[in-house]
Amino acid sequence: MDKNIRILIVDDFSTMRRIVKNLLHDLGFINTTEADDGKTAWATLQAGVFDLVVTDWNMPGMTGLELLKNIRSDARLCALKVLMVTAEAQRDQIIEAAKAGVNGYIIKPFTAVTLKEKLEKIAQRTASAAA
Amino acid sequence: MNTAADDDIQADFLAEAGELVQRLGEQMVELERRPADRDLLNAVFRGFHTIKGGAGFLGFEPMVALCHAAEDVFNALRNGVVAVRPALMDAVLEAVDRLQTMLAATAAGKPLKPVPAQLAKRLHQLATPSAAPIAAPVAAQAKPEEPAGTGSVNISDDEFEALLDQLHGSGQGPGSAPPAAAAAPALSADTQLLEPSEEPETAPSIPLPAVDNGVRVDTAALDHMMNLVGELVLVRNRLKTLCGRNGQGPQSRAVAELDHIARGLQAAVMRVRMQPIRKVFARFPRLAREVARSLGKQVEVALHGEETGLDKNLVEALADPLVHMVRNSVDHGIELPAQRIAAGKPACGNLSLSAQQVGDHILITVADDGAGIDHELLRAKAVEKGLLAASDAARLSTQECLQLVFLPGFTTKESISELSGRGVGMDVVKSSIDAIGGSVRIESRPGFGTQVQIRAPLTLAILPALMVGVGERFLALPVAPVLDVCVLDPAQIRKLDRWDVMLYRNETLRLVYLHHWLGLPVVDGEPRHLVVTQVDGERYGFVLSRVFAREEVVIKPFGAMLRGLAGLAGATVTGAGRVALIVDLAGLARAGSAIR
Repeated sequence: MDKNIRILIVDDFSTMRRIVKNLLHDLGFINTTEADDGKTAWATLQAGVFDLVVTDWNMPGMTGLELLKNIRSDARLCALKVLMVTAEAQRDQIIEAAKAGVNGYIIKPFTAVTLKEKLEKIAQRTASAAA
Repeated sequence: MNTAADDDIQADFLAEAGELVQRLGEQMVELERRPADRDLLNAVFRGFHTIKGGAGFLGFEPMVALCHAAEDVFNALRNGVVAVRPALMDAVLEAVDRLQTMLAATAAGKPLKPVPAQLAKRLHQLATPSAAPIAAPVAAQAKPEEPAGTGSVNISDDEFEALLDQLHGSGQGPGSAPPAAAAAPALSADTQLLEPSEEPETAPSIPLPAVDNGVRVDTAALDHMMNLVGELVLVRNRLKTLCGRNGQGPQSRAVAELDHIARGLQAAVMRVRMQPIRKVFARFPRLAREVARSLGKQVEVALHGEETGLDKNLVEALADPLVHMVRNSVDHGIELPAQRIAAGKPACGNLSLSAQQVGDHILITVADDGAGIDHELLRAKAVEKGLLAASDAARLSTQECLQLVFLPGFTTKESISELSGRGVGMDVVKSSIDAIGGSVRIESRPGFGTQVQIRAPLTLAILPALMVGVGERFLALPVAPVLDVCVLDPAQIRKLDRWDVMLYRNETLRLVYLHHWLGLPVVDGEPRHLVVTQVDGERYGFVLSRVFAREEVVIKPFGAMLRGLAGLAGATVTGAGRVALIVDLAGLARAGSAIR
């Protein structure tokens, strides 16, 4: 899996951004940028080129779900991969995210191994979609 | 993650979670006022949620459990299935306190104790709606918020994969087309986001908006910076002295510029160290409310000037004295509702805390509209306790009587109440404020209330001082309490009790001879100066040889061996490069009283 993909980490809690960033770095993904809420993330996405967004769900201003919906309805960004970070794997909630076009979800707290599995699953689907 | 990075993240987490917990405390107070404010409920929920997330990664299980339980309560609140009531407030406040304790324990490297079963149970019960719903949901068309986990069904990874298959086609993912076409297994070139070959490595790098303008700095680094600025100020003072007072020419101009820049730098570093007093004030509405509740009283707390900034160390130093005064006000000042109504006042007492900058000082006022203090009672009490001779007590003015509460060992309530009177009293408040170079004063009108005023310097590191000489010694006197400087006329000195006194503007002034204190001989015929000061609400005249100039001095604390010397606050280096001791006027006046 390509380690050079550009990843945007979105969380309003800077400790959490650091944790996610460190885990991604441990996996070899070093091309990361951070945003502290959905609105900043949206502006960052407009200004740059990214391959993957790892976003928290529960944020003030613009939630992760709203960010996801915005991404999917934007002509340029609609193909962006989105991994949603959430506290619980609640069925109705995950279904809602899936309908909105999420690529995957991961439950806090997670390890580098789990994160790797999630990223690989996303990559697999993308690869077969491209095939 | 390696251990070093873990420690680093833990420190970050503690700092950030600490801020969140503090905000939660403030939001709890707001919540009492606006119990149905959905944004507020969401914010509180998010606060617990965020801490839970971080704590989970760091393995602080009791913190996760506690936040989770509190989260459930707020989830129930914002969904309108339960309502805010006193028992709920008490439980969530306890949760916030417990969280604070846990953060402190973690910071101290102690293992976390599990959440008390009783608290967990209470929170759980509060999150569960009773038989009938209490209120309609606060807002039906609310944003999709992440609900908390209780009682809902979780999804498994396999189910999610199946769901994606169903939505996007077997083994395929979303993101290939806008939502309208998302369900179709559309394949465009854009899909290869995770594939290296398709995306050129050399994508234009566009500057991204900065995430955060703030930087977290260790206070030790700030202290070091402040220290260096202090040294710089000392060198500047020396250069100024070397150039002479009315120096001309390029050197003087350069020194004048240096002076200007040093001043600016000093102000800038001080500003960095400034924190709004809100940090301390924020806890008081809650504290007052808790104390009031336990006493069956009612109190409304008003805060003014919370944005006033002062040095971080001072904010911390003021916290305990203020806590004590707020407790005192509610405990001893504000009356029971029935008494208040009988006195023609509203049942709910008012407590106001205000802060404002006055020159290079900050003035903090704690005022209540309670019963006030009977100064005659204080007078009698001081004599009865043997703190004051009856004749001395009789001479005290109303104002002076009130200041008696600051005497060590003075407690007016017959029975020491559990809340305010734990053997420590206003004397401790006073000594901690003295320690930071501040002063405290009390005013009161029986029946109308009491007001305590604290004056504190804005910073601890740099002190405007009056440079004086006693014999061959140099001393620095803090400028703030100095009222006047004049030449001493020995003919005016009279003896009163054990003191040498003189009349100064129709008031008796007690004299303190610095020569005596330093053990220096008084040279006959040498002209002497008098520095008139106001210390602890009393005027003293300090007698010394010469008065040089006003100078900004950098306080260098004494080493461990010299610390605690009565009458001395520290040392500094003068513009001439000599060491000068900094006098603690209040301490010196006290020492002077004790010797006699």
